[in-house]
Amino acid sequence: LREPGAAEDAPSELPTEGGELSRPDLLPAQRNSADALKQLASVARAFAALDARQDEDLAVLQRAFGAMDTALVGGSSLTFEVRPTELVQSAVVVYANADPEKSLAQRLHRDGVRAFTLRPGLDGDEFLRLVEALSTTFTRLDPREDDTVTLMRAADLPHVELDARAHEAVVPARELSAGLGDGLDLPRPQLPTPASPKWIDVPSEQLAALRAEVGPARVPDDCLNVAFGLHRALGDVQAPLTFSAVGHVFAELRDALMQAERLDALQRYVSLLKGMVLEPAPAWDPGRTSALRSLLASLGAKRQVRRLLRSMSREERTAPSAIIGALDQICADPLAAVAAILPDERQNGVRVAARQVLEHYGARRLPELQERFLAAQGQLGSDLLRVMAGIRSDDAIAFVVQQSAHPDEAVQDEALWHLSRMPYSTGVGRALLAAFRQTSRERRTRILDLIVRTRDRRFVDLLARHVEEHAAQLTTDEGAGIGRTIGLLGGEAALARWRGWLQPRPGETRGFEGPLARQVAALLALAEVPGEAAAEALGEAFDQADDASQPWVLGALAQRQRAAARPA
Amino acid sequence: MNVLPAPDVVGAAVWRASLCDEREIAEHVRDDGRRFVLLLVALVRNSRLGTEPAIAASAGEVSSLLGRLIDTLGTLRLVLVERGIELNGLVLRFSPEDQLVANQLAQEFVRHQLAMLTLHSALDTSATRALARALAEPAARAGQALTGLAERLATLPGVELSGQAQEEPVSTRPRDAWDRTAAAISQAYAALAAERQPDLAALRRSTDSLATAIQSSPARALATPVWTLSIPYGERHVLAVTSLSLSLGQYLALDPRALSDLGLAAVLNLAGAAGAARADSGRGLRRLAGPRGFREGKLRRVLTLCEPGTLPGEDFAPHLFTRLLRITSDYDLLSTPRPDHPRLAPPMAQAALWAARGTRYDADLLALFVQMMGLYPPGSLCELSDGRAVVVIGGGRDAEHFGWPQVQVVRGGEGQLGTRLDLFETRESLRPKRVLNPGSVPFDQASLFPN
Repeated sequence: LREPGAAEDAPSELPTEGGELSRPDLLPAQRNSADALKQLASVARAFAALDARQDEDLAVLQRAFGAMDTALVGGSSLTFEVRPTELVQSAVVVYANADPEKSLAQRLHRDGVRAFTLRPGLDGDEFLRLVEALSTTFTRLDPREDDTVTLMRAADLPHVELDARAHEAVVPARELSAGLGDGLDLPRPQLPTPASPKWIDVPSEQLAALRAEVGPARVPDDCLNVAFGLHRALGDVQAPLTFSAVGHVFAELRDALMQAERLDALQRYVSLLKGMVLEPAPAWDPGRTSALRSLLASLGAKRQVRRLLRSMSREERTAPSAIIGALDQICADPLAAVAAILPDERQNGVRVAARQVLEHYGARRLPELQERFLAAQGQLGSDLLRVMAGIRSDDAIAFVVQQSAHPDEAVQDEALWHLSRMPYSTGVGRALLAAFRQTSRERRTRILDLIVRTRDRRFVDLLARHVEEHAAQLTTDEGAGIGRTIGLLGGEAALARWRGWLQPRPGETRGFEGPLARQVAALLALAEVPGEAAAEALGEAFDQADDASQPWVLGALAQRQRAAARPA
Repeated sequence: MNVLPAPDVVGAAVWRASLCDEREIAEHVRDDGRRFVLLLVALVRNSRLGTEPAIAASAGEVSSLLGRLIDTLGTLRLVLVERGIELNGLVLRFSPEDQLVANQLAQEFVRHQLAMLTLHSALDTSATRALARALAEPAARAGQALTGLAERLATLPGVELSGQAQEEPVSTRPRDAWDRTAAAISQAYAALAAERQPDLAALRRSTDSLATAIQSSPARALATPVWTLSIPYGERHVLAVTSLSLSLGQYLALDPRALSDLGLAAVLNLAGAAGAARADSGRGLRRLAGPRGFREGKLRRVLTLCEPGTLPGEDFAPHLFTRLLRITSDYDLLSTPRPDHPRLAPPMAQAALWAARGTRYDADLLALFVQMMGLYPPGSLCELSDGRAVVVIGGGRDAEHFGWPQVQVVRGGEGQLGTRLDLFETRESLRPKRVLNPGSVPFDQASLFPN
């Protein structure tokens, strides 16, 4: 590291994920600046795709703000020289990224910024506005009507100061054609007899109303008004205008209105388009109807539907009826349109919203959901299963229950999760048993816990038979798990059966007849059975146990003691 | 530690940012852009050496691909950068073999001293051939290469050439903001006259700096008539309307974002309105509707053209900007000198507007305008009760001061400016006696606010 004022400093370290160079050789204060700039660039690039409903994404933003806060903590301002691919602080390169599309330095330099200063006092609101302004510089294509300088000015950033230059392009003489000139002849307004103006106070609420006309709440109305205005212009025979000349504006309005909070305006916009499609295309614009049809079809495209779902509140448990109404209006097949989002959706918030909407449509089209589920794998399968569980009809629940024995373990987990939350029924019981028989050893423990919670004694015989038929293949741990379950469910009524599993081995002074796993199951069952009879049975087992079974007998006795010590 | 705003505030910001996110489109554009560059190089090469069928075939391909790109982007911009050619700000990455081909286009740019080629509309096959032929021809002599190329392309519609940009520090002198905005307006209207999309970012930057200058000295903004600038009347009118509108927007305390949009809308309003005088509203709308991409400012610009309609569902009132621009534009039309038209003294112009308060003009906005200007708007010439001629240099201040402006005395026949007076302070002995006709007492307007 060179001292400030020394010869040119050059970065030489490894690029990070976003292409920024990381320099461990910086002094602590410079490292803080470097970290703040790197995180600022990174979060600005990703900002438009963040999910503000996801804690992880908010944490990324918070970390970037924290880094900025740390860099400014000394109380002095930070000034950076902007070079084409680098940001330099006191002659030391603290940020470098050679990728022009990802480089914060390049974005600033391109727009004429040659230095900028960050001042202490930059709070969370201002940081958010800064990130939003920078985000657009990474995501917009040329030509733009804003550059970094105008965006940051509009963002009102009192603690960020830019030193920007203007670019004057050399233009061939021919290019300097006449503009408005002296010939402009606008008519003067025809006005009534002049009257002497007076000072009139405008009430503060009326001033606020005027300002609100250019506030965010007015955007939906403005969108609609533009759509109506363009519609009128398109019908003006005095000034023939083709739809292709303004079609992109209609598409931009579509994007802006595709939001849960703007559904009234969206529906009016869609109604306008549907009305326009029915109008005969004028002679000067034969392609209008087909362009309008394409625009209408685009409303139900994956990108648009995703935008709508992304804007849904996470407070909702079910899809709001207004969203359903909008989807009905914009999609030919809302279920298919929403289902198409799930396979490659990264944002959890969008997945949640999509599942809620699918619950609505799937309630009447369960077979179709089931088909989609059968063709799905992994996360998508889990999502669709969750949708069916949410539908809560008998058929849907039966289907979910069946999937507890699904070969895909992610689906199996999902199904078990739902089984554990469903009201218990014979179908659920059967599904648990089927899952128990087919799943891996690890999941059997989970299923046994679920079986205990059912309190259904019919499991006792079924599980006991499982032990009797498969004892030779079971591990002692599995035997113990089943034993605990059947002991808890069977109670004293099943005592004789467990004693039957602990018959002395013929011809031997110690030990029991049969596989060890069955012995362990019986011992752990006795441990859970209340009453003296079970205690006596365990005492007899203690006398008869051999070296292999004795530790299990002791464990069972200890378990009984623990159970006895617990308050009733 | 400081904390970020609540998640719903973050979510709203992310949502706004997502409306500007064109990265998905960028991927398609990048693919087409790579092909476009390679095909254009092939066409240029064929123009030098190729056979007629080969030229015709590749011109057709380039033309069709250009049409698709224009359809997506509105305007196609090829820029020479250190690494080669960028397309609308996108880096075009090629395989090593294709990179060698693409480099040839960069070489053509260098040969012609061309830094940026902008195509504002699609080109048919013959125009595409003409473009390639012009690029293929030898460059004009040193220093004239770009002009030579421009002459060859003079007949092609929507083709714009730029040389290497010169970097200039931005002056912080307030009065330079008017000159800079005047220049930006001239360039914008020259572009519009040539059916091209003006550089709105540069224009916005100028109007933003004008807003800053007005904020730093509101009185100067109102008292220094832009008609003292040596620019044609049309551009002068646009500048005056923009300056007055920004003043009124600031007086109304619009936020910086809305104010920035107002500045741009004020400059471009005439482009739309003069699709003008509604003789060609379609043309006006097309002008205001570019460049592509959603922005609230664009909505507001377009709305300045959309008068309330009579169709079902169209029950909206004129937009705030429309109402505001109507006041500032009419005031300037009445009070600014223009060829072959008499003009009204500023107080008379304002009185004419006042008569239509609540009918043609929004009652509240006009009340604010009048508050800002005062009974004697800045720039007015008056005769005082002691016979001296004065020029008004300050606005309305408050109800008490409304009819008692700050003035500067015009001395003798030379038109030099003398003492500054606050007529409110001297109201017991000195008052405005009458409004003088503009120009009846010559004085140097520029010396009102020398810096």
